[in-house]
Amino acid sequence: MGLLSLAIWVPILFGAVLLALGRDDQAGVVRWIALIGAVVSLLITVPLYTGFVVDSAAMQFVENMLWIERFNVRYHLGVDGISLWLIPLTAFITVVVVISAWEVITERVNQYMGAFLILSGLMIGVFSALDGMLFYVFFEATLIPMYLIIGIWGGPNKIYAAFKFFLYTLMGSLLLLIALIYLYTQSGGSFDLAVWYALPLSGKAQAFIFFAFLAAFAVKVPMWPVHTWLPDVHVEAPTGGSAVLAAIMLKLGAYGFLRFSLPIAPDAAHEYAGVMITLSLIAVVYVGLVAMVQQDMKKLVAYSSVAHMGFVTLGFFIFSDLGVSGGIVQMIAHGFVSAAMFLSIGVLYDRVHSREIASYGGVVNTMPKFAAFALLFSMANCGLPGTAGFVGEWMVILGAVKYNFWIGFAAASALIFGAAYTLWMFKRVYLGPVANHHVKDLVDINAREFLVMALLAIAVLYMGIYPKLFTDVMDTSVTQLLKQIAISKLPV
Amino acid sequence: MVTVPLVLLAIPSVVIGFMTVMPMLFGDFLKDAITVNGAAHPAMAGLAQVIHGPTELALHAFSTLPFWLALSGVVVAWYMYMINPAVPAAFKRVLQPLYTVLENKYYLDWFNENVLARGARALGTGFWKAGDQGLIEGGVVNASWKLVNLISKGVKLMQTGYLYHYALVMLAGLFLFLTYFVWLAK
Amino acid sequence: MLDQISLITAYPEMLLFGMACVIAIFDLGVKTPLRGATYGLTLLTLAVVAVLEALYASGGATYYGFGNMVVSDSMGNWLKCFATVAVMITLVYGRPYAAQRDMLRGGELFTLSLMSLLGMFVMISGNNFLVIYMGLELLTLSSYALVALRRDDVAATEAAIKYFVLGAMASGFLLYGMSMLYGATGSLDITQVFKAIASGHVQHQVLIFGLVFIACGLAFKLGVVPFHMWIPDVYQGAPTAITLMIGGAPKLAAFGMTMRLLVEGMLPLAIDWQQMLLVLSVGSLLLGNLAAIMQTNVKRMLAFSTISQMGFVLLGLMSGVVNGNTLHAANAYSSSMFYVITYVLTTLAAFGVLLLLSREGFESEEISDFAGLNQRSPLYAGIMAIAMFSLAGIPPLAGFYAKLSVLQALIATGNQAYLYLSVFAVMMSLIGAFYYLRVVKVMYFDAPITASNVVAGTDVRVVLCLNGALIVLLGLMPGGLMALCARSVLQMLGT
Repeated sequence: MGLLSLAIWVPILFGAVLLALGRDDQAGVVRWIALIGAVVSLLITVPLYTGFVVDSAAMQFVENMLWIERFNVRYHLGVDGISLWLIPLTAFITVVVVISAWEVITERVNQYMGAFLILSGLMIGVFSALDGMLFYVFFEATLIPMYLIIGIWGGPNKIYAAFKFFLYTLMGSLLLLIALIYLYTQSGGSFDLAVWYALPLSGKAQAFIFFAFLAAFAVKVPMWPVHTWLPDVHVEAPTGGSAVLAAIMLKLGAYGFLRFSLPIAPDAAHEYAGVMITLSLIAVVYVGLVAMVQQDMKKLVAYSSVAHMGFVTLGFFIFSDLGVSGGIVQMIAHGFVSAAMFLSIGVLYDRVHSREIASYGGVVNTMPKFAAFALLFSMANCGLPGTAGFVGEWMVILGAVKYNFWIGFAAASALIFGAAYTLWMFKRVYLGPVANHHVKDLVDINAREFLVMALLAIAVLYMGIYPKLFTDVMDTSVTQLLKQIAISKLPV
Repeated sequence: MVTVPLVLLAIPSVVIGFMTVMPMLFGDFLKDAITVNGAAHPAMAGLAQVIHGPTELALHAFSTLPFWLALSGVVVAWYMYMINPAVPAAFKRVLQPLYTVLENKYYLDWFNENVLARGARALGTGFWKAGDQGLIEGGVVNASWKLVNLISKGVKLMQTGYLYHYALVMLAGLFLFLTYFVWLAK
Repeated sequence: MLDQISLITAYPEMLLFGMACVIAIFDLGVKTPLRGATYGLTLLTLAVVAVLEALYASGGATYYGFGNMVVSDSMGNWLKCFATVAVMITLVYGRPYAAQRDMLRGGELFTLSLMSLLGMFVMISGNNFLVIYMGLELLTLSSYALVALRRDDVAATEAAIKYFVLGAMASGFLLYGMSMLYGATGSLDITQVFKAIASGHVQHQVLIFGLVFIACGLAFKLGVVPFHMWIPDVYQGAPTAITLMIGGAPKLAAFGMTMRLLVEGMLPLAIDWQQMLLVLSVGSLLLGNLAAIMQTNVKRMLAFSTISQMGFVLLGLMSGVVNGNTLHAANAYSSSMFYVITYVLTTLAAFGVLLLLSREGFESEEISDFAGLNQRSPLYAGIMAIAMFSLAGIPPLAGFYAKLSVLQALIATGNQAYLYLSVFAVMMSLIGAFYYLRVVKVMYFDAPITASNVVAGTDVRVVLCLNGALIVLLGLMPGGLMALCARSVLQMLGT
């Protein structure tokens, strides 16, 4: 069985086994099995990186089998430079989330762990699918575990949030389905991406396909103006759910742009690039301003995620090496940083049960170790050089300035806003005198929480100090993609 | 306490400077590390023709106006604040507006705090309440499901429970189909 | 008339009829209240019939029997096989429910179920207007009696009356349409009718007149707007086991009848009946989904959802003939067939769980009765969730592939308007997703009202688990069933 298939099905298998292991009195066993499953899944993704040939832009670790003969749907998997790092990122975040939920989740632990493991496998499936229908099946299937995670272990308004998440995302995805079937019909009966890349399409058809894809991916990323589900969902979701949602599920949408929208409808992409850049800049500036006035920590980080993803889409649609690579690097960096931010807020929430900034003040006095980690992650969120947050943002801004000075200028303002809201939040929550008895009673992080924070801190610092590890693998694939989308596909 | 080390640092500084300034500026000391583009920046070449030794460089300072202005500044400050504070007090009385502007650092801090920061926060609040919550959430997202609920309530009422209503609807449907397909769509 | 071939085509029906009579008599001697022996004998009969039909269907040949009045082809036989399995599963799920409500007195449940299945068989394999009508009447009359089985339940009696009166009206429409076509074409035989219409010698208006009546009769049986109004009331009023009996397998029979009448008999008139189906399906999608949102009763909600699901089936049926040629016909009709089969499978699972909950001595019909099922019994909550997600069309469950097939058939026609129609259809299914999700929400997110465990007999538990597993399995490997549908429809169109 191919490596990618193992990476997908091993976590799903572990998850299914956990679901079958009933009661809550076996919670200890369940947790250990979940941890083993998550770590094994992570180890499986290591050979993907070590065995990856950097100079080739072709798909690697390819598996191709006939799945549904009737519609010529194939079980076609593969990775290239663009999708390579997203897979270990997914597995890594899953390990972190399993560890972070160790003592926190006490009800129906087996379902919680099972849902996350299955979700992990499905997301890896999305990143490695090279067949349109296979991609769609994995893409949609991720909705079910996430819906259950939000609704069962979520906050007070979890039902509204769960429904909003599911139906909002489903709406976009259904339009994606129509576009996929349309492409199937136009290509004479194939769902294979390679066939679609070469398929000539008229301007009107490309516009339809581009906007149908946009509906699905814009909601997922999320782009302004369809971003309003994210703050609500993040606030209500449990800590692990928020971490996975921000770190990986948002990337499903951005990845979709690179794998689908740009290569299949390049002319439409060029034509509507202005619209996309505008929406990205609005996300960066407008949402950055909105983030500044938030009183709820999770909502603040949620809006900050929207702004960071605005960078990603901006990078993609300026169609330059720096832009696209910067966008991909930003995706991975944001994965680490946002997971870290949400887990930090989770640590505070587990103790005080409040996400309001006003409930805190001077946490550094009682939780110095934790505050140190929180400071690192806040700095990474601002985009401080030396941390993961800087690399992608810098590349995108550089690419944007080369494209158009004023776009680069507007994008750079994101750094100012990012620093403003993150540092302000940090100051109000962590610095200063001890604000109330909640803070006074705080206990510093224990060994397990320290482990979670340390793992993420290592990732954040490593990526900030030596990003070459990440950017090396993407170069060839990004160049190939840009070459591909520079060629017009209008029928002659 | 800091004086002695400063003195001890100052003396060697002068000595070293005296010895190395000429080779460094006009000689080969930094020949590989720094190159001066003589054609674009002729200043150093011009300077080389005027200055011929470290003593000359050092003594040149005393003949320039900026040196005497700076020195006079020190003297005036010493006089105004150590000997006769009434003078600056008089200045303050007479030139009150100028004093205030300088005291408030040209109001740039005020600008940052009140215009930029407060403005950004106001803009942020405006975008959030009016844009996100008002327009997007209220106008599109929540309005759409509320609309669907409203329509659904109306549709639910169509199922009246009366058998003759159902039969009537069936007959009406049949009649409409007949009218359209047999008669109109000839 | 009674030659070898005819006997072969009718073996299953004869067996079924014979055993139905035997069981009716046999049951007189059974004394136990749970009617175990009758139940076992019935299941045995059905199993044998199902195997027989499967063998016939995989044989792949088409036989005409009884002077061309009966056809035994691959599509019909598979539909009959699946209908038999559906009735079997219905009896498994429904017997404990029926036993608790005193419906097993006299064993009529089994006899009438067998008779209704016989009616379905005749409907599906009829090649003659009167034979089809006879099958329809056998099915519906048995169904009326089944609905009214609980004589002292007011709701059930009311449902039975509504079903009877409206059903009689619909049968009247169908018969009138058939008589019109007979008058116009001079024959009751479907192949003869097809030839007569195709020859072009028959006056078009008369044909359309008859077609409209037939389409309205079919629409009632399928349960699409505006002939749908019986469905919510009858589904809600009938005892839950009977709701499953009339809402599960008969959908396969209705589909079979539609294929025989519209596709085999009146394919040249496709331009016209496709338009009718368009109107029927748009109305069903709209009304079914919108009305289901406000329902608090599970059976009523599932009834409205049935209306919208049948709307989807019609979408497939109306995409067969494009610009006068039948290239896409097999594709389109097999999509609808696949949709109906997966729909029946999912309905069985959903009602199975519902019947389990109703066992505890009270009628659990409200959605709120499902509250906290995940904490009481994760297995059954899981099966219900699988059924709900499948109905909503979420991958990787069987219902998604059904919707995919139908949408693909619709878009493959190349008609721009149909592209917008497909967007409309998915938007309606988005609305539909809401009420399916609501059931999942109640099961998983709400706290339980009663703390009691859900008790189930071994047979019910095994079959229900297999049912749920099959939905997931078909979601991972739908190719087999899809190919089966495609092959059988292709064979039917070929003859």
